Amino acid sequence: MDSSFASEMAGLFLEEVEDQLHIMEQEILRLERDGASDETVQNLFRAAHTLKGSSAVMGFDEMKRLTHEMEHVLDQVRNRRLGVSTKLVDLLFQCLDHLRTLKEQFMAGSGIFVEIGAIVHELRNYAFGSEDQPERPKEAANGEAVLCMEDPETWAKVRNAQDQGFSVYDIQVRLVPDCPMKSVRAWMIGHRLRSLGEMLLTHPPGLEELEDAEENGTVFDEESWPSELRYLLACQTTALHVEETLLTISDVAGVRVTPFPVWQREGAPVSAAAAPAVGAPAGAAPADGSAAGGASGASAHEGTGAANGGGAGAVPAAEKRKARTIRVDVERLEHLMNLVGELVIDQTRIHQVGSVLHHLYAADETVDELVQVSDHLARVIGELQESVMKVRMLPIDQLFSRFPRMVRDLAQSLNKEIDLVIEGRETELDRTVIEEIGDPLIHLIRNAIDHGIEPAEERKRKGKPAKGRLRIAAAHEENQVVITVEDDGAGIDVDKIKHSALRKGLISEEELKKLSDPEALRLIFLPGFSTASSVTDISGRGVGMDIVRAHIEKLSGVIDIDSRPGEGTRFTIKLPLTLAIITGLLIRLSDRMFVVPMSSVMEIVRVPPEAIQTIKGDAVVVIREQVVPVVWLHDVFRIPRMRETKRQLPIIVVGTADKRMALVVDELVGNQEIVVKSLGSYVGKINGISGATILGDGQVALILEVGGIGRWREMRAGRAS
Amino acid sequence: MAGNASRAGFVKLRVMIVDDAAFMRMVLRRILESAGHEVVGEAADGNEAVEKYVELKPDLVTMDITMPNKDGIEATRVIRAIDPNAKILMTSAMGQEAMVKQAVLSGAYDFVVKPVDEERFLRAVAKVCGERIMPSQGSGHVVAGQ
Amino acid sequence: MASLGREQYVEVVIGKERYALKIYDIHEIIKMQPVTEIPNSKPHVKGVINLRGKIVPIVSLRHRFGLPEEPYTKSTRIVVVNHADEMVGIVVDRVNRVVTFSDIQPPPERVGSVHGSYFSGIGTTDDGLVSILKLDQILSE
Repeated sequence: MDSSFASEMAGLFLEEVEDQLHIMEQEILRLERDGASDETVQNLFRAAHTLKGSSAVMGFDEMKRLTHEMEHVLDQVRNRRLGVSTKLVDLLFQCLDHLRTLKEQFMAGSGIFVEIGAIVHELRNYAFGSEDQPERPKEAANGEAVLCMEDPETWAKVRNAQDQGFSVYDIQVRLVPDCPMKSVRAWMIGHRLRSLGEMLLTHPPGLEELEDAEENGTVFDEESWPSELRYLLACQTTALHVEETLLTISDVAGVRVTPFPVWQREGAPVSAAAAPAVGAPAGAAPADGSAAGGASGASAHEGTGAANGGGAGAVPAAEKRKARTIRVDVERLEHLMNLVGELVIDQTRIHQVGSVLHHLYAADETVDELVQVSDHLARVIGELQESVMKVRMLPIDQLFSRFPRMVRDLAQSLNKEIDLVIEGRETELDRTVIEEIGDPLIHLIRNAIDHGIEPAEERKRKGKPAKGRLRIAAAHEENQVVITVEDDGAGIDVDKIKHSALRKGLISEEELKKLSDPEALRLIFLPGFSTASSVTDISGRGVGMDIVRAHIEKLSGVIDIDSRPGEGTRFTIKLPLTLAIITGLLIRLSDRMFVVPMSSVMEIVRVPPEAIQTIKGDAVVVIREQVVPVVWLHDVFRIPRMRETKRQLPIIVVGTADKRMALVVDELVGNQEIVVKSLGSYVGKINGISGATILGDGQVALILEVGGIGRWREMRAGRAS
Repeated sequence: MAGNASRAGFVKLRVMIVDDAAFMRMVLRRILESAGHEVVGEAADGNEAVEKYVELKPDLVTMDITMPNKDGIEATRVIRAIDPNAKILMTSAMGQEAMVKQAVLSGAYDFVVKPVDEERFLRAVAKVCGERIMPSQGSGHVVAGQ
Repeated sequence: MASLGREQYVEVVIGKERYALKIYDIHEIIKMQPVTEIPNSKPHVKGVINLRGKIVPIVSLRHRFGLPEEPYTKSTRIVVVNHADEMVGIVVDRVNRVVTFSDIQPPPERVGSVHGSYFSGIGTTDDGLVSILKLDQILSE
């Protein structure tokens, strides 16, 4: 059909549709107002019939299907096998709306998106109320008596799935009559469907048992295997996709995928309808084994997660819906995170493009629209990101629950009596953070028990309760998680610290004098420091607090210490809620791209090269009257400095209030949201690098860890002096 | 997707035929070639199938299930491990239901049953490589028995 | 092509020598792609690549074997293997074919200039001997 003819036909078709829809509307209104009359019903029937014919000719399947069902119902009414009720009038109005939308989408030409399965289903069920077995289209399967309405358990499963946002499809498959190995074909279909979502019901019942039987090598009777198969599947894809997936399997004669309607049905079993959703208490469903890293289950709250593709989803019974949680495969979460990450990246670029366009064509309306849409996108994606991050969060109890046993064992072997208090078990953290914070916490706990808390005898002499109190607490604070490890032991003697530091040459006399007590306490975080007179077996494994701090800094966190001699010690750790997506400053060193986490960036300046001076062998620069040590990142990573003659050097000032550094780079490329990916355990931990990310163009950019760079500098400076 | 579209709607595929029976291989070759596909190689056992797969990199492999020196299921598994995008169509005699299932679990995309119905076979070939074929009531004729 | 129902290996070339890896250990074989260097990493780790969104470390066997590095050619490939639950990519000069061995002998003290502990055996094929790589050893440390 050449295009001009086609468009002429389309034009005529659309005109006719408009006419018939108009007629339909008049007649349905009349039906509602004046009740059924032969003429009204006949007019409606004819309109539906006409539309059915023309949409068939045009190849407009959806309209054809809908009008076909309408025609059928109207035919039953016309032959007095069905009565007219308000329900029917409602249905007809709905059909009209659907037809209008179909027509509009057809005109727009960019695809048909109306889901008519639901209304078709309703029409069929209405028609089913007639006495005769209505004439069914050839693809209908036997057992159309909707199975799940009678079975409360299946009903509950369907409702539960729909509540969690899944689409439930009623899938009928007819195999070709001479299909060989029907059982295997049926199994393949079931198998393929299970990869799309969760199987709620199969018909003939027992398809699953037969599959299990096969595993045991039982042979079953090919002869008695049915050609009509039926499934109820809960998934998150479109009906079209399900249909297409099944059509790729050989020997499938027909496939019909109907969305299972979401509505409150009268006559539904009371137990199912009455079950209210009980809100999920936090931490109700423990995750398993994620701490050990290789397991594949993690529970998520609020049902925002993806379904478990294997048939093992936990769908609770209707009567007892306690915790609304589902088990989610960790890999799917990762994938979800990646996708969100990519969305974030793309949205940032759209935003950038929008800004540029806005500058170039300030008066253009379309550009305005783009900017508006981009802003809206940003908001939506921001929310999406937050939601997905929440999905990845787990209660820290997963980690804390290991401690009681550990503390008990430690206390016994060290002959101490410990009273362990754990607070804030339900505080949620991102999985990755939980995995990483375990080691440092264990170190702190071991230290507290080994060095902090005194033996019972000594405590009694000091007038303290014999049992030492060790308190581990977690809580949310703004956008962070605060973890406290506190003991009521001997506390840390500041003077002892000062002397030790002095003795080890970690600090000079004059510098020492300048330190306040809190600052002096922080000396324990210096590398090479340990006040233990002997490194005991238990906590001897690299007990250095510098390692603990390094670990925490790698998580973009901070640790602080407060201690009073005789009273106790408290370590406070603050961590960001998630590591997965951060705002990064993209920089270029020579021809390579790196990312500096924005959270570490204090400010960005440009200075002429002469501004960098050398004082006692150290390069420094003066920024707003403060002397800041300078680090050429090229040197840290042994990248040759390109001989770019620049008038201004871009400098990133990083660090915390008391420890700042000025990092020199070749170019500041921009800032954007990036998805943090680990380098993997084979590469291991690289000083100064916390991970990698994949940029929009597919390039891999390494993410800097400012703490490590600081340590590099300190080591270098130490060596020099 | 690989293959060249020589006439509208038809995509020519490079196929490798694996079966321990020379006669069967000949039959499948005839069917494929007269449909316009190119048979780039044959193998008579699973080991040869794996070796030749790496060498020839066909668009599609038809794989018999029972063969000496590594059966079709094993060969399917190995080929899919080397190339996760490999498309494999199993050919099976009647009565081997459990093995066909194993084959699908090992990564085979679909299966046809011997004796091979020419039209059904060609439809399966097209489906495996991604063409959407609307189901029809085609009554093919049996081409070869075994 | 003598196949006696034994294990299959993929034969690769590095320098002038032929080596083999068990097919079961191989996840995928891809063309050479740009590698992002990781400063201060283990010397034989050349860097990482982006494999369909996953970060995969790349290892140079030449470096491991003490051979000089050569520029990549069109036949250079990355053999991605499974190692301790992770994927690692090994750069090879060329991937030859899939092969089975009619006989496998234990490795000698040294294979060429390389220490024998990196190999799990020497396999016999129709056209010569091939040294079978012991991935654990090569990728550890």
